[in-house]
Amino acid sequence: MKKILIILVLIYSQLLSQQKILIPMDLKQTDHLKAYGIAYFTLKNGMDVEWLLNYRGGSFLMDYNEKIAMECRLRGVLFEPISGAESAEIISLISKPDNNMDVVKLEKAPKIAVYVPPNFRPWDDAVTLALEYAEINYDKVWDTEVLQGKLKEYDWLHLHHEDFTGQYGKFYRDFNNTDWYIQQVNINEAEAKKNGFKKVSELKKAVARSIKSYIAEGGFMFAMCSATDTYDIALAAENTDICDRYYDGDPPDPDFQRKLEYSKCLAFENFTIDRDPFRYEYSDIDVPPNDMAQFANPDADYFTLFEFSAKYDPVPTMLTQCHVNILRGFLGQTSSFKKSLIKKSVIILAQGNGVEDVKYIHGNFGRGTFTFYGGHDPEDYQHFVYDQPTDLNLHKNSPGYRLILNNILFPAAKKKPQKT
Amino acid sequence: MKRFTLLLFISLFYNLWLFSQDQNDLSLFQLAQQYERAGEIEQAEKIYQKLYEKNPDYFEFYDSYRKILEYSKKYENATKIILKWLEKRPSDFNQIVNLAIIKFRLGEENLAREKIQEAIKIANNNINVYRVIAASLLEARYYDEALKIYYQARSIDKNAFIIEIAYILVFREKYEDAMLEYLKLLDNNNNNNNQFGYLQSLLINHINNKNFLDIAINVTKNKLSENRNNLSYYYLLSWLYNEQKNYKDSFEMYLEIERRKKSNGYEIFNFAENAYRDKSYDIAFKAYQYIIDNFKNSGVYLLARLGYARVSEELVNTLFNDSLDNNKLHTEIISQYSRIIKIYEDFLKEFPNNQYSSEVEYRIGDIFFKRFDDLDKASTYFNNVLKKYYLQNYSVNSLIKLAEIAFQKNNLNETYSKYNEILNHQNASNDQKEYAKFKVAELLYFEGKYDSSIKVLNEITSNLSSDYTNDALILINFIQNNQSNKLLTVFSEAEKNESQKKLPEALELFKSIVESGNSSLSEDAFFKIISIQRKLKLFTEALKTANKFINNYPESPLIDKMMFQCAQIYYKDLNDVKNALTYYEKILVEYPNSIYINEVRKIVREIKGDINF
Repeated sequence: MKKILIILVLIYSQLLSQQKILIPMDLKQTDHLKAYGIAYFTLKNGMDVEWLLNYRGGSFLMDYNEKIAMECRLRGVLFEPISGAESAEIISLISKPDNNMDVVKLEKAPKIAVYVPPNFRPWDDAVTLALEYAEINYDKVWDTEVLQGKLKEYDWLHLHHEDFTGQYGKFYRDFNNTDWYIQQVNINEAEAKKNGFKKVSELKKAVARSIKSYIAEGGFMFAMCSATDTYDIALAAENTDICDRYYDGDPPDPDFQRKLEYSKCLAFENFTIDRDPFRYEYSDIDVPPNDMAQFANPDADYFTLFEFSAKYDPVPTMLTQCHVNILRGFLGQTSSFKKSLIKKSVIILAQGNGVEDVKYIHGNFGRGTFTFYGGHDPEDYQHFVYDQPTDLNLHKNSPGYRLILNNILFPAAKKKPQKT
Repeated sequence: MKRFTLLLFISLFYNLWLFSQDQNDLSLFQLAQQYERAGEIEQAEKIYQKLYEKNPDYFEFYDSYRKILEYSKKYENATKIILKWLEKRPSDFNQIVNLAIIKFRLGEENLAREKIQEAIKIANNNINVYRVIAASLLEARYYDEALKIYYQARSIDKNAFIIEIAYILVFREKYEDAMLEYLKLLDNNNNNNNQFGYLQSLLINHINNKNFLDIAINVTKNKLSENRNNLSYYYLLSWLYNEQKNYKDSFEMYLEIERRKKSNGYEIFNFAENAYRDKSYDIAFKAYQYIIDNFKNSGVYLLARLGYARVSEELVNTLFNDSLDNNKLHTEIISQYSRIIKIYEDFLKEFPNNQYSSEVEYRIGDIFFKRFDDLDKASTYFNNVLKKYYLQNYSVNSLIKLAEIAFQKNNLNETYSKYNEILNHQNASNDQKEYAKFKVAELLYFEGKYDSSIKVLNEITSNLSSDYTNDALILINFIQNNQSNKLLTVFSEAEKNESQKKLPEALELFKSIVESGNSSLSEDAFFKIISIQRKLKLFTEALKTANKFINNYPESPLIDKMMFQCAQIYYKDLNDVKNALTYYEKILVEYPNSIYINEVRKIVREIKGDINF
């Protein structure tokens, strides 16, 4: 009798241990952004998470644990406790060849670095806003750390609206007398001097090259806004000077356009640098150009996520997991990328209204990957200097911010053998 | 004649040829400029070169060619043409400066500096030459070199370029040196308020930077110790201390200003008023006290006495605002507010019937009403305001208080009368009139005159900008939903008692509604009972009432609200975290869509901290 009782208890506990938590990511979800935080929290506490690509908006599945359940409740994340049998049914549904779905196992909480200057304010940057809101830890790194090779310690690096061309965001015309601009110049010049560079532009080029090495060695880089095009411009301008005297004290190389080396870029080619030192634009990569942004109509500005085969192209599928396919557009210093200037090897993940208007791209370099996302703040159509930070408590289900968080979880995925 | 005609023709043709040449050059020049603007530097350079070679003495051609050579970093060629230009015009110091900048760019710094000195010498040490040279250096971002030139100019005028130098020093984050420069504006303008105001307008751009502010204070302090007679330093330091929220040291500065300026208390009074406006009551108190003690014959003495009384009351308010219900403090409260009343009454005795008397009488009345609950004494003071100062500022406020007192005394006719008087008072603001109207409607509701109440409430809702529109809509909605319920009269009577602070009577009436069985008003009555029981500190009773509700109305849409009440009673009133947590977690699990969920999450996180495995 005792033996039977023990067996029954064992069976019961086995059944219990099979209980799962399903975090649906479709329109039913109460807080999509914090749901990513729960996945990260689970991974950080040593438990695996299964990312159910294209199943109910890209849901998360994990073993039932009362602490995870409580954390979901505390963070306001909708979850469904399901039985082992129900979970098996879901997995079976996903596995069917006719369903464009797949399961990706997430195994390790990625270590995240955000490239920001010392005077950085979290509300300047959509990614740090998203990370803080989702309660995901991150470290800050800047030029010296990058040049010292600290990036090796991180799985994921984020660049926001930093200017890798050394032109301080090309804010000279309107803001050169403001305290924050002066401080920015001083900090960058001091950093350049500290690292043995005569000019900030040279320092930034070296930083861009170090980041490129980090990607080549298997790092994941995610850039937004002007960090996207300025990063590639800095790589292309390795052997020329594109900065006017207002930025580095001497005139640019008059022949810089011809001297650009596009082969060194990650994502763009054949672009033309904007020569006007007072124009708030770096090149013709940006769509629409900043001086045309005033004519943009927020009500008509949308971009569409492309659909990929979950079973054969899991990476782009992960990056485009969302509860909607059409998202509201948003501007930035670099809002979107001109399609004709994007390298053929780069995957387009989302496209805007126009034929040339690409919002979201992804590519491989060496053993790592990079993702570029145009625009500054997905929930503030036109974010200006001095604007108040976006309160994500008012945008818990923001599809635009979801795309950012897809990128954060993506390095946690266990690599599967390629099917193609 | 023939010869003359021939000469005329030749001259005409020659001039036409010259003109056509000039026109051609001008067109070419414009074309080069267009190329330059379009970024086609090579094309532009070729044309400029051609034009320059054709006419090297024409400044526009020379200068455009020089600029494009510099832009193209062809520094050797640029140097050549500058030197050629200077051969004929050795005193053109602008070109010497251009040459110097090229030398800087080529890293030949000593040579560059020599050239600059040459330019200065040529221009006979004219102060404006320094300005032009420094501006050129600044444009080329040679800040430190520009700084040297500005400093050099001081051999001519020791106070030259103060603002320019200070600006560069701030830009280079050399705040101490920058502040020393700025202070030179005050050095030679002892007690000049205009100069102080100008300096303030310059410093306002920097003092948001905490580092700058701290350094600015230290530098000014040092300067002051060197020259104790310059009043501008005291004003500046006081202002900087204020910006740092260091009112104590700021006051010390004003004491010194007063000692030196002998303004008969006016300077201290200005400081006290500013401190009072900034709600720095402690320091404002000291400042008023100082005037009272030292300047009895001053023109600001009366105002200082009034300020002293006001600030004394504010200080007592900050002591007791959060603990008015605490019986232990009751004696202390009475003692402190009695002291304030004495201060006000002394003011009235010493300065009878002046323009501030109405405010003082009102303030005394308010203390009797709010702090001592002495309705009769309060009425005396409020009525005094009406009798003596009907057309002054505090008469409408006094009417509002008298209406509230009449209501407390259950003298409803008097209450109506006072509110109606406000509606017709010529000094009443629109906001005060809307308030009076809402109170009339509420009174009609308390009396069970629901239709009349709704009529007045509808008038309020027609004004969408009124602060009372929402309250009016809520009351209309409540009345209309329950008008058919016979118990509504009991409910409104109970609410009237509650408003009149007759809590036991109100409690009994609300209980009678609950006991009469299920009705649309029962659920509201439960919440009213709990609220009163908490006010009466009957916490166990309140928990019983809440549990009764949870058992009786398990399907009520207000069940999460009641659970939240239970949790709050345990957490806030009984300090029983364990039981509170049980209720909070129950809300989290069972009512994830509750309107209290965000608050619950915050409290649970506060209690439990971060969860770790």
